[in-house]
Amino acid sequence: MGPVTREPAVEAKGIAYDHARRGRRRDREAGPGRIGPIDFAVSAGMVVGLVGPNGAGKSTLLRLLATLIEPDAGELRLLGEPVSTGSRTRVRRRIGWVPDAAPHFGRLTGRENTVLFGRAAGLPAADAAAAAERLLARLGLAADADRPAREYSFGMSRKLALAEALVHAPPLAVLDEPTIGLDPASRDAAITLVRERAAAGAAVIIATNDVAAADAACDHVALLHHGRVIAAGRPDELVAATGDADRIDIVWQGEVVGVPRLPAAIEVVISAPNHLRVRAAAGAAALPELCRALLEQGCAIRSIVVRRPDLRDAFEALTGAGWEPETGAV
Amino acid sequence: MIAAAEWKTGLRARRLFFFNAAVPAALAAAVAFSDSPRPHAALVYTILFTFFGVFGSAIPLVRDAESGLLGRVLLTGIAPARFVAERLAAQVALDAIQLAPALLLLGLAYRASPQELAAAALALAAGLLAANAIGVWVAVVARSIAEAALFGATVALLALHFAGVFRSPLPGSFSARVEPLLPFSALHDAVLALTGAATRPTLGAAAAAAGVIAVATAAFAAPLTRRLARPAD
Repeated sequence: MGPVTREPAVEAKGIAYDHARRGRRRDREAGPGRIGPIDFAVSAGMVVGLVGPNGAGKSTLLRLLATLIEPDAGELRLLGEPVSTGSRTRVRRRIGWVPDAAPHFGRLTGRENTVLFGRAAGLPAADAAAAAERLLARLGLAADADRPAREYSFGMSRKLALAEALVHAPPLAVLDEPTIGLDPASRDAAITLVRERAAAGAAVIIATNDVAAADAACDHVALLHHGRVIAAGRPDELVAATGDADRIDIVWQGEVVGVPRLPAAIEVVISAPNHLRVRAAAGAAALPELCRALLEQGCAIRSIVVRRPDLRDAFEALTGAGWEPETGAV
Repeated sequence: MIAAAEWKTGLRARRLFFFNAAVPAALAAAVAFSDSPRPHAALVYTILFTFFGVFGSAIPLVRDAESGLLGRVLLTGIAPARFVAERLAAQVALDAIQLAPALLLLGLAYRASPQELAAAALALAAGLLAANAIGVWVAVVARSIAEAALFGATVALLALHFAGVFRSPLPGSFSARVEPLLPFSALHDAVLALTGAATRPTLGAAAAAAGVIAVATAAFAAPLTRRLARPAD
């Protein structure tokens, strides 16, 4: 998982988990039946992203790392301790955890919830209150801190979950989709907080399918597919390996069967019914020729998005499987 | 801090708090001011108080486990025994306050003496502690709120049966020796005394029995909460 420059905060060797084992029901994410075996190491001071489409196994892996579930195989050390029944409570006090769905004590205010989580993790009352005040202000919740959490919107609830997870300044933060549902300003504030935790020496692990957030927040990224890590490295290295050409996502309507004929300079990356992702070295300059070719074949173009390559393209290059095509205004 | 959170949550749910106080009082009034024979009426009150405690503990636990809140709290590293103990303490206090109107109404309806009312209050507290602790065990086994209600009712009725609430043991029998030591036996006796029957509840034994169940629940808190906090298996 990237250069381990200090004592690893997380060391996982061969960990695996099988939802189907012993009649376990699949959890809500409906992820793969099995994840692993996975080797994984994260140093203090690093932000590592687990990136993959829905169902890749990110949340399951995070739950293993947060000690919510136990691996069926392999060894897991967190913050220098092997995870066992005897050490679990001690280790948990040093972890900040944001799950994919983060319920709160609905009738308590945002401030009360944050203080409660801080005190449950061992902070004295005054320290928990001060830390809660600081975090809620940083996340734009100061004005709503005294409203019951049940009145919060989805985005506010996610910000509150992040505050609750970080209030005790944990040396290990395990965050499942921390930026989902956040407006751009809140997303930037959340990413800044995460980077600050890492700068303060914490290890941070983020699971996300928000590739922009992963790119902005993470020092290293592991791409997950069907419960396995298929590649790991710095985001820019993973993206550079797929080439430098712009990607163009096209959605059209028409009666073309299969993939429309395209100009020679344009390479198809992923195709799906009425969706195409292509690679064009000329970028937006290739659009007139591309559109003319599609229109001549009776394709009514609904949307075109031109963008720089990102982690989705790295994923697609490695797996041949498509991430959802980007759609937007023509 | 868990006790404070549960306490605040219970008090701030004003509509629910009102119904939790009003419905038992209304049921108690309906039975007290009817022609129901007093032993039969005492049986109804004992079952009411016991179910209140078991359901009031099991169902919120299952709800919080299903929502993931329980898992989130336990992942903070709070000692499971502390979590269970604080939650029990808050729930028993809330239950006692919500059942106080019903108990007072019974005291008035049956013209109970202050001593009988006080004994009934103490027996109720011990009974609620035992019932709430039993509710934790029910929640561990139940996989849904419906199952919690079903298992809670079954376990409560069994516990009441073994406490001799539904029958009179033969004098000198094993049951006659053991029953006074079980929870809910003293609660039943105290309620009978409240309604005018000539019984004297063994409050010491009731408190001890309730304490044993509560301590055992706290002692087993780690495996119990681990089971509660896991995603569905």
